[in-house]
Amino acid sequence: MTISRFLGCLLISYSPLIALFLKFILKDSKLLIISLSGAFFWMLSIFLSSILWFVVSPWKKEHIWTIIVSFIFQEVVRFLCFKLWNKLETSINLLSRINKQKRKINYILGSIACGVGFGFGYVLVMHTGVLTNVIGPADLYTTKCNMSLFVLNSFYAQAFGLLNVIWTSIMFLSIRNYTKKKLKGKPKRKYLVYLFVSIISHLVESLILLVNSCTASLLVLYLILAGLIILLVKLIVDTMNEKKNEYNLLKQNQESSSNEDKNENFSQEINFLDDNKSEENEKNKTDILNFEDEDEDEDDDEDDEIEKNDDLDEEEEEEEVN
Amino acid sequence: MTESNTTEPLNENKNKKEISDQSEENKEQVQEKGKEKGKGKTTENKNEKTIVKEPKISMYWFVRVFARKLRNVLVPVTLTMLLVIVLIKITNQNSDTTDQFSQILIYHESSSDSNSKKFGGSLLNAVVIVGVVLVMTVFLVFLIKYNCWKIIWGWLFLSCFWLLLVFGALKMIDVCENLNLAVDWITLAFLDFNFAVVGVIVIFWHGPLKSNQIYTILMCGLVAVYLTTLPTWTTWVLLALIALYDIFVVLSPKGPLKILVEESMKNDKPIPGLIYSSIIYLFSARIKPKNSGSSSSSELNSNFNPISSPSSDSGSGSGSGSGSNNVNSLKEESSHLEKGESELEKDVENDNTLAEDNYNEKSSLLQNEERKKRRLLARRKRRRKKRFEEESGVKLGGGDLIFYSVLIGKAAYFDYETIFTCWIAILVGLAVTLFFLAVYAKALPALPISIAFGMIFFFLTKIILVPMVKQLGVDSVMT
Repeated sequence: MTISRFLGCLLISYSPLIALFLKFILKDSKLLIISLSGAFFWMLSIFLSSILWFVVSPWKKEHIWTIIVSFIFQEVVRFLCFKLWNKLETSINLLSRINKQKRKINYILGSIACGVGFGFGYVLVMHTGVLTNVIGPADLYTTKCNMSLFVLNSFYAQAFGLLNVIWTSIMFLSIRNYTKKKLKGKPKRKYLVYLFVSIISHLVESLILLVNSCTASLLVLYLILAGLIILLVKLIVDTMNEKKNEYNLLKQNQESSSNEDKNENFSQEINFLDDNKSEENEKNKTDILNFEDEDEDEDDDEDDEIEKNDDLDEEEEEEEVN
Repeated sequence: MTESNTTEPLNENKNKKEISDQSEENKEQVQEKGKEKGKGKTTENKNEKTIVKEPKISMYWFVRVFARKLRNVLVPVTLTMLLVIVLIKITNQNSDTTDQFSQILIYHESSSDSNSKKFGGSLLNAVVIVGVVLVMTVFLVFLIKYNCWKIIWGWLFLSCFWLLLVFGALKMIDVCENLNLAVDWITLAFLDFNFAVVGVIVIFWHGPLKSNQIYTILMCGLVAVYLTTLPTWTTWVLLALIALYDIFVVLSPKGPLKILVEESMKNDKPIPGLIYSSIIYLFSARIKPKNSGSSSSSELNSNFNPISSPSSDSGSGSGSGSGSNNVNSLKEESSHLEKGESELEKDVENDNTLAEDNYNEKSSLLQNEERKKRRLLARRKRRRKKRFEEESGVKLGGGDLIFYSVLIGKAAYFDYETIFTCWIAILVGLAVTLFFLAVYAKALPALPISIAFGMIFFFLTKIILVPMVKQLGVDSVMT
């Protein structure tokens, strides 16, 4: 019984994060690094708040101050993480544009990866203590709740793990969209509103658990979670639309700009290539001019592709030899 | 560069091939970039001061290659840590932690001693251990300098065998006791002997790459588990000291490990156990980028930008003017790395077909099918090379694996939170080290950053974070 309860709690608290991790992050090592650093940054924030908790002794009984302080630290650290990554990302993208490579990091996926790092950090630190107790022989109930406290805590952990993903990606995407160059004078204020909503929701949800830490607060938690998910989806759609706009603008610009420069650039590379090759090249050129991020798995699935393609190549080769 | 190539008829075909490669896979790469890169590589081989890092290229390198390589480094580290954690969690219940090393240590820690006395004594212990390690390293450097390869191999062989035999047996007995398994001595001896013999065969002779790696991880794990049974204070002081020692040994101009790397570069001979499948466990604490050897640097170069590879090769002296030479270097490498023979044969086959192709291509001028076939072959070769590279990427010394695992093992005596924070800290430290490796492009000590992060996180977690998390958990408050 205890083992099954332990497994249940484990799956409840970790499954959404693991699903996100397996789906998006594991196959891309860049995203892996990002999520690793996300976890690191979250731990930095919790260390800062725990040091304050340790030093200021009256807080040890009143959790409200602990919550507020840790909320502030988390958001600040998240913002720092965004700043750092933004710097790194722009330089990387600049480089890849210099090299005419399209190995950009997908921004949406990157923000989700960072969020998953935050979420994992959160669940690993805050929930493992509870999980190790679940294996013990007894269960824990309080008078307030009809639920086992372990299960309740697992649900909290699940919600907060997911929430960390959402907070992080909302912050990243909204700040990015806000600071972007204005396109046709679109109103940008709504992104600030999104950001504000997500940050406030963080504070609210932490405080809700103080008021009534039982199923009612769990319900509220999940309602807010659903609302935030809708917000995030909207934000992602907005980001994609902006990208499309950007792409269209760029395309127009390129059509208007002279084609001669391009040809000069090509001539260096195409010198020794045949016509077929140059056609291919040009196709790829146009692909590169796409600033779409949809090409997620381009080179990190190469390992698999290599094997597949090797087989294909061998087949083709045989045909040709015959 | 390209003009000079077209004037040489012999190289023409090969260059074309490579260019076609490039157009297939690195279409976007600019030639100027390639030239810069080639320059960087060659100067790196000559002296290290002139490369003073070109951050842009390094960043680019980091993004393209290291992101992928990092995963290959993180997996063995994580696996070793997992092994250590599992072993400690299983055997922790009723084993005395201090009496296993009682013969070796000078100072025996007892809980009644004052903190300063403990610190002094453990410092003494750690200094003695690090001193022994230093002496052994210098001894090994001398052996390599005077080409006493047989002694080195014998030494490695024997120590590896005994390590697997004795530590394996002890740990097996421990595990059996703790899990209440009834096993008779004969079976245990049989199992243990086979374990050790197979390990030695796999590591030093032939065996699939996977099993080789598994045995390496097992060995590092066993050593790490035994090092965690050192007294607590001694372990921490030892970890700090070994990180400092690592900095000294790798970075100082006359550091033994630096000399070791230079010697192996000079002779074009990889040091047998030092890299990854390491048995010289205590003093191999370093990361060695694969491109430090000249032949392998050509590999790397050709992976990045095929055009520049011939020039950089001739600069560094290994000289691969034609395709066959290139494959020869490949062959050498693979034999060093004890890869399966099948791969080798494939490479040779590939080479033969390529040579035929060259010949055909000369006689008949660029027929369409020919071209297509050639392109396919070249692409295949390239891919194979690439896959080969994947397998022989960044090398992590066995010592790094061991000491990371010692830290994690020490954490495993406490809460799970400590394990996780230390794990993240070590991995991030490793990533930072890899980043520096990308920036400076020379062998770096892998221990200091990770160990520093790990120790800071360990003590913070143990003293401050765990009480807070427990308090919050009791009141079921989430922040």
